[in-house]
Amino acid sequence: MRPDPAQPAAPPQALPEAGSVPAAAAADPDVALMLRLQAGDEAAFQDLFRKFSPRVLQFARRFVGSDAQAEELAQDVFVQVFRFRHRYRPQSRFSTWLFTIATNLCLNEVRRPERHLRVDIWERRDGEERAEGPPLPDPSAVTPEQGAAARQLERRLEVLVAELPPKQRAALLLSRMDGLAYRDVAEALGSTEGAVKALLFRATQTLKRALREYL
Amino acid sequence: MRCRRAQRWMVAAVDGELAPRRRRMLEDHVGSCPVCRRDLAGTGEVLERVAGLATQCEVPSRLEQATLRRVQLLAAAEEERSAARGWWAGLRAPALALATAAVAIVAVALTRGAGDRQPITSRALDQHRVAAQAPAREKPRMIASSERRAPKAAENLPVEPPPELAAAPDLFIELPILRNMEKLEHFEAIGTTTLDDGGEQSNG
Amino acid sequence: MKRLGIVVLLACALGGAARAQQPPGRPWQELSPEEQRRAWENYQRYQQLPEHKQRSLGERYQRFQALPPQERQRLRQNYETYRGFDPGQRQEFGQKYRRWKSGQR
Repeated sequence: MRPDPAQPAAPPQALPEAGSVPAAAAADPDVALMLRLQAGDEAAFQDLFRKFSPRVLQFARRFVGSDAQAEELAQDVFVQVFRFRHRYRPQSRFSTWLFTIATNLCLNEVRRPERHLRVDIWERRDGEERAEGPPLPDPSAVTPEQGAAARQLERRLEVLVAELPPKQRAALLLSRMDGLAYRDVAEALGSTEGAVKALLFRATQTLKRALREYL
Repeated sequence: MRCRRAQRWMVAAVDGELAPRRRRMLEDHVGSCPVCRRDLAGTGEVLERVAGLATQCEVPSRLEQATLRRVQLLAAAEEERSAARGWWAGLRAPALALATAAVAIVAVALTRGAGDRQPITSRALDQHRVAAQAPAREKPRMIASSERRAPKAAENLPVEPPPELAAAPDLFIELPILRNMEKLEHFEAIGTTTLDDGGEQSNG
Repeated sequence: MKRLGIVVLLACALGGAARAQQPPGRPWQELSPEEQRRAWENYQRYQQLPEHKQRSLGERYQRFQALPPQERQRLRQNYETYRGFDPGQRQEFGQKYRRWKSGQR
């Protein structure tokens, strides 16, 4: 079902088991933080933010291709986490729940018609103001030429990823996240593992074809 | 095993998500197919490089501050709503009793009035006359009803807008236009700019 | 201090508009609920911008308010036109903008 761009993404709600939190979930520190947040502990929210915002922000940056827009989205993600905190069930991994929210918001964003009028993307492409994220080091570079080639490849890859169809892009970026297995990616996308594999296959084929000269 | 199937399994194999039996099949095939061997290596390299993109990044402090601020506003709004619901819930029981009593009074009045229609009718006419006059008074009440609507529509809005917002609300309504003013001012000229390789530019 | 500075800037913008005999912005209470919601959402986005961009927007608002009404309406119509573009048209417009911009330098 195509998300309505006008509506904020409503986080998923897993069916709760009657009774207590499963032992494995109770031992998960992220689950513990969410349970504390549900109980009204504001500091728990801050801890969750500090732990996950670097990944959420980077995911959003790679998804929408704009630093300022990614910041807005990252903010929206965590506001949704707070707003819908009582819907979270510890049977589901927190990172999966979090990235479900992030994916929905990013997909909604790229499908908004007025998105491309935002000055951030235009400024970024114009080079008027290019808010760079932290440069990714190339530890294998021995010479400046190698470093320059690696940066060129990285930029090319950024553009290619940004040009993938949204669901392929989402599947690719999510599956590179630490700790997210295909079943988690499927849950975040509201899809099946088989569909995730198909999305990844198509995305990778596109990238391999386009990067042939670099590989 | 055919190359086409092998290629479809490569991503899952690199990610460790391929079932053991299929993994063995793929390994056997790749062992004897140099093309797929190269393809698998290419798949691994691409995925590794993408993983290099999808790592963490530094989060500016303004993002944390802005997020916390929004969450605090949200929490305050939730508290207000729950306090308002609590007030109504507290009032509900006596209100219900009052409504029940009112119904009882009307029922008694109707029963008594059954033997004396005239006063009731004239009272009813008076009520209709009042109702007929109501439209003339509707206009002022329309403003009141829109004011009553405003809080409902604005239930996620702060009770009092922040000073910057209150100082120039039209600025924020026009914000998308302001942010793209140059493009919108020269919209026609940009639209007629040509993109041919000659680099010639129509300034419209 | 940053917030106070922006308020002062906006007050100056409004004062400048008044001196130029431009219609002042409407008070908050005169906005419809939908306008209030839109202003509030945009205000939250504005809050996330760096200070220099916020300042720039205040200056642009002053310039926008100084435009004749029909010119302001033209810009709004252009914005609505762009919103009606399909993805291909938006992409093309972006390319044309970059080409146009490079010709302006």
